[in-house]
Amino acid sequence: MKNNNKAIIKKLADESFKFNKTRNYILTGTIVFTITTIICIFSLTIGRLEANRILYVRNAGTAAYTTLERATQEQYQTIKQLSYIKQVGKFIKFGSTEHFDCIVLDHTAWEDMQKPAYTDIHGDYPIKKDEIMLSVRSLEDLGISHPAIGMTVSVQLQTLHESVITKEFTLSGFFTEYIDDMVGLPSGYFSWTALSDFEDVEMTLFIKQNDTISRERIEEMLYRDVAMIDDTQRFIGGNTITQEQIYKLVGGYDIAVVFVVLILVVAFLLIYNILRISSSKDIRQYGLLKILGTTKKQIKQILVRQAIKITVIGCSIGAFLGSIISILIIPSIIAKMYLIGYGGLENCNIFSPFIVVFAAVFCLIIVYIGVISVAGKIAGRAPIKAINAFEENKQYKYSNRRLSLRKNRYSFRLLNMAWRNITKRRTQFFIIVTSVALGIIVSITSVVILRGTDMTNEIEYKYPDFQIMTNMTANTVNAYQEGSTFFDLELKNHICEISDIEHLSIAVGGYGMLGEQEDTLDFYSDNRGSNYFVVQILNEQNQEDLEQFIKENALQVDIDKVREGSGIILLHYHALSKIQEDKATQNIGRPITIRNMDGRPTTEMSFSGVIDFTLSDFPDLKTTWNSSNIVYFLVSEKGFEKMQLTEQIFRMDIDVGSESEPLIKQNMERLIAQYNKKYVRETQTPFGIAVNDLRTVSLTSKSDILESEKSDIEANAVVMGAFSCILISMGIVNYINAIITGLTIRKKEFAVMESVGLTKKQLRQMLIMEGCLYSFAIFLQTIFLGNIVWYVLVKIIKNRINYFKFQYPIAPLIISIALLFIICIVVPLIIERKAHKEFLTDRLKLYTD
Amino acid sequence: MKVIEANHLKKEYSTTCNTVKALDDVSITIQEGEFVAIVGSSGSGKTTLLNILGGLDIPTSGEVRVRGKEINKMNEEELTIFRRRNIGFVFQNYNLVPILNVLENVVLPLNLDGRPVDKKFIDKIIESLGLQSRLDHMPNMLSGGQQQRVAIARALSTKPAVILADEPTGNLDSKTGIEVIGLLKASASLFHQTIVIITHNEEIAQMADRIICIEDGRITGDQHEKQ
Amino acid sequence: MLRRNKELEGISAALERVFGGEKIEPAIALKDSLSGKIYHQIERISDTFTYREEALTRERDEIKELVSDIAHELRTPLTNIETYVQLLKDTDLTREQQKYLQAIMEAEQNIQFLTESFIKMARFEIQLIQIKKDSCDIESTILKSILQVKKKAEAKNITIALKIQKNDILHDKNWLGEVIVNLLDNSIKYSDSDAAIQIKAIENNMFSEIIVEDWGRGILPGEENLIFKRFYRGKNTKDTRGYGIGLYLSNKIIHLHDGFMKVKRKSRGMEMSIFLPNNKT
Repeated sequence: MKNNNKAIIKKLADESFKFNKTRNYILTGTIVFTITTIICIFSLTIGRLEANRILYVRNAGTAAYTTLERATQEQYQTIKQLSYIKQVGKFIKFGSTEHFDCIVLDHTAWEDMQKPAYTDIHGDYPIKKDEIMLSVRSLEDLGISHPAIGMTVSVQLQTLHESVITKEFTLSGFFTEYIDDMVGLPSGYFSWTALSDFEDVEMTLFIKQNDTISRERIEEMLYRDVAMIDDTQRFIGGNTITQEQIYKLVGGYDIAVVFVVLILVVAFLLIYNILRISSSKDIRQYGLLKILGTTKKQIKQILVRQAIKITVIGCSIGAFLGSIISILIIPSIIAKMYLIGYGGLENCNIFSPFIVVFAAVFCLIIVYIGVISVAGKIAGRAPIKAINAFEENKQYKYSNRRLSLRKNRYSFRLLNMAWRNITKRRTQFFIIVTSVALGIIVSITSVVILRGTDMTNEIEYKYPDFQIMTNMTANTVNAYQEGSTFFDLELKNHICEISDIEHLSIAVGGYGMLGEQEDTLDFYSDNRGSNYFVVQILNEQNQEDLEQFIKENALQVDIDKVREGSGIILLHYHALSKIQEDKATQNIGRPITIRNMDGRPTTEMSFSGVIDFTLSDFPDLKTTWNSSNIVYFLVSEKGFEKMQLTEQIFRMDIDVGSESEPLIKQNMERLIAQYNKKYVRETQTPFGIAVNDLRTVSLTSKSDILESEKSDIEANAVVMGAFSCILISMGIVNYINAIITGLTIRKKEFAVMESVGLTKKQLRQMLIMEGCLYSFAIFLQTIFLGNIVWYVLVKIIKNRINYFKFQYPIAPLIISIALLFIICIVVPLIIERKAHKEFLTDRLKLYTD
Repeated sequence: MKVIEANHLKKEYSTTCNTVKALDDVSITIQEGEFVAIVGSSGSGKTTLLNILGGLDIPTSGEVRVRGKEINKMNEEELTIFRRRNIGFVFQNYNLVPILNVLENVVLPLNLDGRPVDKKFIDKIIESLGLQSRLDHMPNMLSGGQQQRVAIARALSTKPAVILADEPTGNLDSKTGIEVIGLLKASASLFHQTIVIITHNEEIAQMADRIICIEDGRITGDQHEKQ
Repeated sequence: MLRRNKELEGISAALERVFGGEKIEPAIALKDSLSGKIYHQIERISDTFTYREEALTRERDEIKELVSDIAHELRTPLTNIETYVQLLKDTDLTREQQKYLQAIMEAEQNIQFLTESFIKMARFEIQLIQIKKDSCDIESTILKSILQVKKKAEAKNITIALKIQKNDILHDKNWLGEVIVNLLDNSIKYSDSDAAIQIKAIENNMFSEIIVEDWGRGILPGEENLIFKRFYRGKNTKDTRGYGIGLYLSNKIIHLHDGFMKVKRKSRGMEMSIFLPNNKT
């Protein structure tokens, strides 16, 4: 049965609350600040990820990750049951028109896969048999520039068995899509009921798997769990967009988690520190209360009561503020930076009430933990020590004075005092230094990571300064005879003559033909677009890299035969189903007849296996055009000699000195334009000038690519800047508060020193020295811990993202340290000036109560 | 009845330089109703002794019994509650809770214990100390002497068995100091309380029934009552 | 739950009253509940207290009677002795006989003085003495006391000066008078001839002070708090008669006035102060 002394506890809590208005404001402000910053940080990150996702989805024209062509109803059922599949929808094609494919979608395919890729959707998905839904672009192609719901659209479609039907449909809806028209036709949608008129249909299943399953994994799992209808049916797996984004952003989920934890730790330290420091002012009071008979539990209750009031207010304001920012401000920033030209903010889900609640609850928990531990410390102190907290222990003081008198040097004494002042409260010193250092490190690390994963690095890594590639492919070479070349030697020589070339690589190979019926390659027969193939020569380096790659992935490929000169590898563009791959492996060692472009057989090569070009760690090989219906071979130098085909230059990759790049670019462009003029037949098409002759070459300059991504790169820089500013501000706020409170507590100490002869100037000097020592300590700690963190981090990330570029963050370090020093000098001076406005005696009196 | 009994108290501090013996084998016994003054020079250990007697500090060795209970064996909660109900404290500095007004400060120990406030009694104490007009003032509006008087009123409010005062007249002029001690004496005799004060003021010390001298952590003089 | 709390609070309050000495008779004690039982037990404790108090009072009354009887009994033979001593004085006696008679007279006076003092002290000790604060005129009380010691003062040619700055002090006329007589007596006894004694009555913050100042032998340093002890005799009183009872009783009487006494040594003589609470008007 509890004692009936609740009233006094409530009274003490309420009075203490009223009395400490400044402390309340500081605490509330800190909580608001922390919550808002957490919300902003998460919203920014989510915004960036979301923007990327939207870009990707709209670009791809679908939100689905994985597809299965020529699927059956049974397969649909099976897949639907799988636990790791989020959604599966039916995408049924029953015909095509000149401008669009005729598609019917089931509910899932429309709502979850296709709809997210479109914006400005008017009307509804077709329900009636004669309804149709088209993209604005398709409508324009049909000559309708101002679409309206209900209008009649005349459609001439060709069914899957080639019959042509003309029919009138009513427009039930229209939308805007963003697919690159080079990729394929957009879709026009019909209702489910329309299907009854058509027998021949092709069903593709659009699949979304769970977020954590990678591209390769999902294919593995699906092949394992779903029966294929034939050898060639295959799953085309894709990375879930989230995983890809996070991977590209920070190198993986785990790093992201670590980062999040670190941010939360910084937030925790901030609030904890402020709690500790602001309640240390009241230590004397609680010591007295304890002497008068307040138990530890009662003191805890008093503190908790106040904390609850402050926290509730702070959390509410913070949640409100954070929500406003993440609803109103951040989305528009993100949209402006990333999504211009891609439909803007629609379907953009940045605000997550979950985050707001999480941030608020997190702060609540931190404050609660902080208060409990602070209360424990306060209540646990021997009350007599507490009451004398700000009086010097007389003995100690005496020995202090003796020591300081010994030093005769003027400034030495001050420095000595400054040092001793700081190290007197060892734990507090250590905690403040570490938490500020941690805040700085976290913020700088975010800069390091974001800079390192920046798209610029990716572009720099992936692309050479200049890439000149032939426009000819294996599927278009059929118009030419053996002996033709498509990349003049003369051009190559011209290019090689360009001065200041730092690095040059040339990919060479040849074109040839296969027989109609090539048993060894019968697993690939359905894929072949034509009988022609392209073969590329692997140089020494390529062979070594490939051998390593084969070993690491335990692929069934006979690289030795290739080395010898008799083997030939098929490099396919993710074109084989599992069954087909197995079949391919079985055929290793069987002969393939090589013919030249005129069809004359030249030699037989030994089939050495298949490699999927799209595998994630495929070595760097400068290839020419490859696709899922091209036959692409790899041989060694010896092998090519054996094949007796005309050597072709496929592509040149050139890196030049950075200073001469602009000039070289000009020259290069002129050179290529001149060369191309020989073959170009420019025709005006609605889409621009078409360069029809494929004997031309294309020049891709890295600087152009960088230029086109400029806005993205800039946007990222802005986001990164905001991010790290927010984080660093946490550390700085922490620091400022520590300084201010520390000084306020020591007001009396200073007054006493002044009354025995310390001049204002000396006091100022001493404070500045203390501040500098603090900042210096923080600096050392930052460097020490920071280097460890960055070393480990960079090692991990570099493993995963090979274009990651680590730049030692000198500038951020200098900026933060400069900030620290400025603060540690300015703040004490401000406080000291305020203090000196009061008279010395008043200041002395103030704390002798 | 022996209200305070201390046996072989030792209190040692180790600082970075050396070990300081604040109390070196101190034993005293105080009877119920006595008014004891402890005198000694600065650093003699008198404050340490008083703190230990009141359970505010723990001796390195030795035992302390107050009203028969061994307080150095109690845990923190028991000790706090024991203090609340049995001991009244007056310090030289920092006596009042700054967030409460005078009246609230005076009845604070009673409130902490949930005890009903005897209005007549409290009024009487307040009047005797001349605080009637300042009941709703905050401590920072009072002079040092007035704060001291409030502290004394608080110490008396629970009618504790023991009142411990450390330089209670330090901030008072001599006349007021005498009066304040007189008030303590009057209250003590009325409620049969035991008072132990530390003072360096001879005149004040001589108002006590018994003077104990302490120097360098040892008792150097003790006037026992001659019966 | 709430009811339980209320009940317990009631019990706590009742106990507080018993501790304060009040008698309680809670009606609830007749109820058949746990709290009823507790109240009943409190009532019994209260009764026990009352019973014991009454027992004490009875004992006191009995002792009162005893003391009265003793006083009475003692006085009779003492008066007899005095009578006969007087008679003897009036007869013719040899020088030696006169010497012996003188000795007997002195001894008798001592016994009488002692007896009266002892009786007074006994009465006081067993609280036979009740303080009735019935007068506010300190001046008249002091004057009366001065009158009582006038003879002794004149014998040594000692002047007594009186300065009243505050007259309105609540006190028991008789007993305070006794105290002042005691102080004056001491001052006269320990002062030399032609000395002066000053009496002042002033007001302080919390108390009113009556100061009796003399320039006599005073006391030794360190004796200030000892002189109020029961049988203490100052070291400076070697050759004067006194039994060290007066100050002890005086102190007690002032205590009953809710006041206190204090002595301040001077280089010559001392100040005896009586502090009495200020009147609340």
